[in-house]
Amino acid sequence: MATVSVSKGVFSFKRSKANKRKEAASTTLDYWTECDEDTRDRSYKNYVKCWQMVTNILHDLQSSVHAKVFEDLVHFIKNARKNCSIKASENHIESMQGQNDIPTACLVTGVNMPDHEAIFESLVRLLADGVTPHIAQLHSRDCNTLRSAMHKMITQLMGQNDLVDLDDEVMIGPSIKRRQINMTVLTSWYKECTDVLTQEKNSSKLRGSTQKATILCNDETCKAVTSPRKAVASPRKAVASPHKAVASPRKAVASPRKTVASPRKAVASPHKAVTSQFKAVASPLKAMASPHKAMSSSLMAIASPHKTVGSSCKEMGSPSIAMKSFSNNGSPQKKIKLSKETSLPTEDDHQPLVVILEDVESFPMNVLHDLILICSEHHCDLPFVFVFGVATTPAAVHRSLSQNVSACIAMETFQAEPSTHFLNHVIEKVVMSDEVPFHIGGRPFKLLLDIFLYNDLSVKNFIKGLKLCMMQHFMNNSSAFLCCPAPERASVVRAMTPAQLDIIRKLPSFRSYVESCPPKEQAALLLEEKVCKATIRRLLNKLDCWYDCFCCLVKVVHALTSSLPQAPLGRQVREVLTTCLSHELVETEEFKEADKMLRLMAREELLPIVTNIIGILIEWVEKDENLLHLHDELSLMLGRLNSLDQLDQVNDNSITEEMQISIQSSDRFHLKEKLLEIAKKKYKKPNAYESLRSEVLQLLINAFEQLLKPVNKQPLHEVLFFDSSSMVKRHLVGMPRAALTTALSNPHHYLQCECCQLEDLSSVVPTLPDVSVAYKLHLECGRLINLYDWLQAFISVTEPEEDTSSKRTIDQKLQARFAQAVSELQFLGFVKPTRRKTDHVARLTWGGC
Amino acid sequence: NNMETRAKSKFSVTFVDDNLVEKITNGTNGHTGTPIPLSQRGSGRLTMGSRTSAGDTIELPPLQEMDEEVVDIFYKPTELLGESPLKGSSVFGFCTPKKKWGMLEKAESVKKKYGSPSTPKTPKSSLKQYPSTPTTPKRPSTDSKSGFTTPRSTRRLSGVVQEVRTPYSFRKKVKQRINKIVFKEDSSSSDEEDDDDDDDDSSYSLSEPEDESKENIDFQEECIKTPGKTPKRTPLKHSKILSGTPGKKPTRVLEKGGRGRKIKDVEMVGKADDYFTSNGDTGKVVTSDHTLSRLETPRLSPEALQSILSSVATSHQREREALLEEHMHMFPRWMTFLCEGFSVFLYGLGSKKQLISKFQQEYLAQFDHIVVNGFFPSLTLKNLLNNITEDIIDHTGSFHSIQEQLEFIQGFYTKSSAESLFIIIHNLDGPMLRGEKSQSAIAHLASIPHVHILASIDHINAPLIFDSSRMSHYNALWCDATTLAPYSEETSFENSLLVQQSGSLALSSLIHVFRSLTPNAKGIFLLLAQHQLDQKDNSNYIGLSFNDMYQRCRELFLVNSDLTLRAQLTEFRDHKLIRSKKGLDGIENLVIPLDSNILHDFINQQESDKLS
Repeated sequence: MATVSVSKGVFSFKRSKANKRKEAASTTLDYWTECDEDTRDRSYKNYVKCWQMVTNILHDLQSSVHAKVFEDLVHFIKNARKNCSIKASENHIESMQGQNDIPTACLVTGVNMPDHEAIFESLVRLLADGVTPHIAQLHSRDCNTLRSAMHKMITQLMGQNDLVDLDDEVMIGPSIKRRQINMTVLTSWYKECTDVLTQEKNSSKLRGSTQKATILCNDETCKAVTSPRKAVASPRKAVASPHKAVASPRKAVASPRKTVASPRKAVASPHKAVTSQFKAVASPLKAMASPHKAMSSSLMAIASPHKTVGSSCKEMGSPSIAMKSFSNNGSPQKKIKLSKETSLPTEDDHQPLVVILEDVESFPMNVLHDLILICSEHHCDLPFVFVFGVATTPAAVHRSLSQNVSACIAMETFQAEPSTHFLNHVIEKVVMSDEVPFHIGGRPFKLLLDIFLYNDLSVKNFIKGLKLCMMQHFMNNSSAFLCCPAPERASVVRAMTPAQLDIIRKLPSFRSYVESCPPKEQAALLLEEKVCKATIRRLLNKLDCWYDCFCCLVKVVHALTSSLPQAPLGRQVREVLTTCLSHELVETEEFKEADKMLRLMAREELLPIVTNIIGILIEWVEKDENLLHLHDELSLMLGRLNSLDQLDQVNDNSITEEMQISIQSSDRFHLKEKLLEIAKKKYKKPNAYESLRSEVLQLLINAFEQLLKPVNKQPLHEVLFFDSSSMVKRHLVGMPRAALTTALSNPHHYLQCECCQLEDLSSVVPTLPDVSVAYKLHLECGRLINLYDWLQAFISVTEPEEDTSSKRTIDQKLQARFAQAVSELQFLGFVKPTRRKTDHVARLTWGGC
Repeated sequence: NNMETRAKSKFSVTFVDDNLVEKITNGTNGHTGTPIPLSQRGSGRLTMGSRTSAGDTIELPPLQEMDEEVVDIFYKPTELLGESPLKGSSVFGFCTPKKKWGMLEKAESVKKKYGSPSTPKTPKSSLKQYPSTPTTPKRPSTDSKSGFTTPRSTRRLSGVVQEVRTPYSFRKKVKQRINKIVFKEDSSSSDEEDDDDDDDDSSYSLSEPEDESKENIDFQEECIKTPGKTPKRTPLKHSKILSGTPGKKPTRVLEKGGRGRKIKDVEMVGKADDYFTSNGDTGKVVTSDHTLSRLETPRLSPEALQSILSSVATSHQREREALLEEHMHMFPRWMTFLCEGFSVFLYGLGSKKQLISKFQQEYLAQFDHIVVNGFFPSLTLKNLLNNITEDIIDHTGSFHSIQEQLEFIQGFYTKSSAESLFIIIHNLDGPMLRGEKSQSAIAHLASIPHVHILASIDHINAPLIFDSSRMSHYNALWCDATTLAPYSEETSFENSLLVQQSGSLALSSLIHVFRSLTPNAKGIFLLLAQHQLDQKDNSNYIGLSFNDMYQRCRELFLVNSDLTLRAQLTEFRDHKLIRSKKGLDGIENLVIPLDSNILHDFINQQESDKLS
């Protein structure tokens, strides 16, 4: 097991075959927690269940959150080619130049980089589902050179087809040798794909039409059919084609031939793919497609990996013959017409080649330039569509691309939803859901929100934090075995062992609940198993109901206060939720402030708010009695609010009258007094609206007071709620530097020894570890440190008895210890050697206490 | 210095003298019993970097207005940053005292405290430049202006007053307030300006009061201490690591080390503004001109260092073991994290190699795993990946690029039937792993489902190598694993200034290569070595020119054409035995990049071999 060597840095340990264990999912369980078997299993199972629920919810959310922008994107990609080709057909002469603009979608995703992967994943899924099978996803980390970028792009574009079909085979995609991958291959492959597809379409159309003539073997079809062969068999043509961007002619000559000749899959697979597409496109053709499939499979059987060019040509010939037999039904006239149609491609037969660049900003610029230029060169043959993932602004793309390159792309911007939007959904569906039995308490929730808002704005990291909270809950909390989905709860409670029952009895919230009960029940709860279990069940169900009601009221509070000036309780539901989870809402300063403002609210503002609240409540009315009550009362009051108009008028008049009376006094002092008096009177005599307003508010506040109690007031809240943030914080927010500095300046913090207690962090004690002494001494220095002086100071600290400065010899032990301490500080990055002065080191930090 | 009040448009501006300033500062400090405005100032809003409103003292109306400007109530990261923003500012605090003798003074103070009662004589050498009550000012400019500045040495040496300096921001605020008042009156008092300038030094001027008003200010500023400056030490009792459930007792009391208490979290918040104040002045560095050559043995040889260090008893052995034990209780927790798809990053002072090796032995014997020494100086990413593909996967065949290899590994481990692979990386921040490419490759590895990474980091700036997307690939959880163990293995590859570079390794590798050479090639190399050795006293020696070399070799019948010589030299160059440099005249000069005494050893050894 030695992992020390001067010649090796990596050591591998393959586990011995002897103790091979078969285990897949149970690995985590082995280390889960150290309590008794049954509880452990249960809490682990609960954890797995909970997490599964959350992942399912998130999975659904992921695609639905971006639905809108994806819809636009798909629409854009579908129509990109059409728009382009229409333009081209309008002016045939310039078609070559006109088509060079590559349609590009610029998806602005925001700075939350970690979430982007998921966004693009769902985009690819969506595109593969309905739009095109030809998708390439490029990351900047794979594309350091143009060669690797091209390789990646072309293999993905070509491989996709086979991925669908040959999923049971090990090899994926035509195995083309690395250096033979170039645009020519792609072009010919694509032509083959589309031509075969077109052919099939044509023939299907023809079959549907009346059988006018049966003889058809004209040049049109032949050309179409044999074109793959041409591309394959006559390499010269490939060379002669206008694609000059293709590397060397020699390579181009060699490559297509080998492509076909080497492994059989290269030949067979596209055909197979075609057959599958047949099924999709032309269902009435099923009967016809099947012989074709048989043909291609027989072809696979015939073909061997080591075919010569000639034999592969022969093979290529055979499908074309088969094709001909298919198209025998068509009429010549019709054929011509159709071929005209094919020259003007429709969206079905020319599926776009979508190239997704996930992080455009971090691509090397020259690679991006060349990639775009090459693609635009081939754009007339290959309908490329780019999707750029941009984290900052679309202007960044233009800024980094030169003019001639950005002239090649026709960019359209799509704005993805901001991550806060996604977060709100996650909170709504996961944190505030009634499906997941696990709930998060105020402090950890606030911590996760803080990390989200102040560190990275990444939902992925938020979910990571949530997962950690969940793990901590189920691992550390022995009562978590009860935290299971509500339907299973009855059976779990019934199966509780006495030991488990004791765990629950020891929970502080349960104890305080017991204490609040009358003495008779107390004894029963503590002694009788049956009573206790029943109570636990009842309490847990009550807790569930309470949380539902709680979440509903949180939304009500949000609706009530979010539009207030300064929004004392926050403008988002999440902020209200944090407050409510950890504090008694009615008691908080923020709420009092909000209350003050609410009591001054005009009727026009209050009305929509009340309507809104009723809208929220109505969803929950069936579930909770309290809410039903609240809803009914509010509806009544809303009615009264609506029929207030006349009363208001009267009151207004009376006030103005009073005002006029008051102004008569002459003295300034008296005027002030009077005005104050009037103000008081006015306050004392509220008008009808005002009294109704305070009635509404009082109703709501009473409801809040009664139902919006913080979590830790509920009995058995420990079972379902996770409410400790320190542990989670320690793991999520690492503070390596703080730990290092603390250990250096105050080793006692970690060592807990008697000798190193410091009354002040800057003081030095001889018993401190050497590194710590050296560190403390170096804090006193400026940018450069004289090693000799440092050594002397070090010695005088560690050995106060000795006076070495005048001597030329010093204790070698001390010198060695000092050398070790300095090299450790160098290793940690506090100092580094410098050449600015002899025997000096440079300091790299600026701190010091 | 009379107090006069004048009303200007809206608020009254008071012209204050120093006595008043004293009152103000007293007020804000709360020393004199006046209610503390610090809390009234809305401590919740007192977050780092945000504008803080000053105290509501009557004398300073302009600042009151600032308080009312707050438009919206911001969402505050109280849970993330803790309640007090000043905690642990010592970590990133920038108030570095720059004094010539700071280090020696500190050492002296310890000596006085713990040394023999009779104060040992100050060494002669340093006595000259280091008087016990030095009056050397730090900056000449302030010296000329104020005329007095006593370094704080007196304070330090006496060891009575232990104070923390006023945070810069607060001092600045007070200054601003004073300035504001002064400028409102359109009369710039030279007194205050002076105070502003020597503010940095003034806090040390307790001992010699010359000017009454200055003394006052200085004293006040001394007193405005921020209690939160030193990292707040929460009571240790209630910070159990595994706490959370009341019903369970997760922590075991460790009897052995007598450590009943658990380690609490360390907290910190940085203050970035101070960088500019500490770095703003001229880059003049004041250090003494002593060199290590004053010692008899300026540098120890590595072997000697090792042997001495192994004989030295390490301090706090028992406590360290207890610490290690404590971390070992976290092993199941780490394993759970790893199995659940997280990576684990260990940080903290002290070598974590022993700890991780324990973990490896206890938990990973059942699994495929690889161990990477990140501190190893010639580690490459290719090494790491090859180990996975060749030794673990048993794949024979080569890859065109790192990307391809990574994809292969990904393909292998994404299969649901794949067995877990654990990668242990000692020093993920090691010199060879710091680079962009290796980091993103390792992050990529970490994101593969069945690959789990446990890594340790040590460098203070290590977190800088992880950007947000890489961090999300790692999916890492942090664990404090401070062991305080010496970094003996990690630093053994480092070339420290205090260790003699013996080059024994170089010599042995040279001999190794040399043995495999042909006799003629040996002759060529010896010729060059001999020549270099002859010239060892010549400090301007730039190497033997190629033509010269060719002539000499021909004379000894070692080569017959310059092509053969070039071929030989290429071989040497490939083994890094020689280095060629173009001289000023464009001629190629050949040098052996080794110390002359190593070369001498080598030639001696060769000659003795020949004789025997």
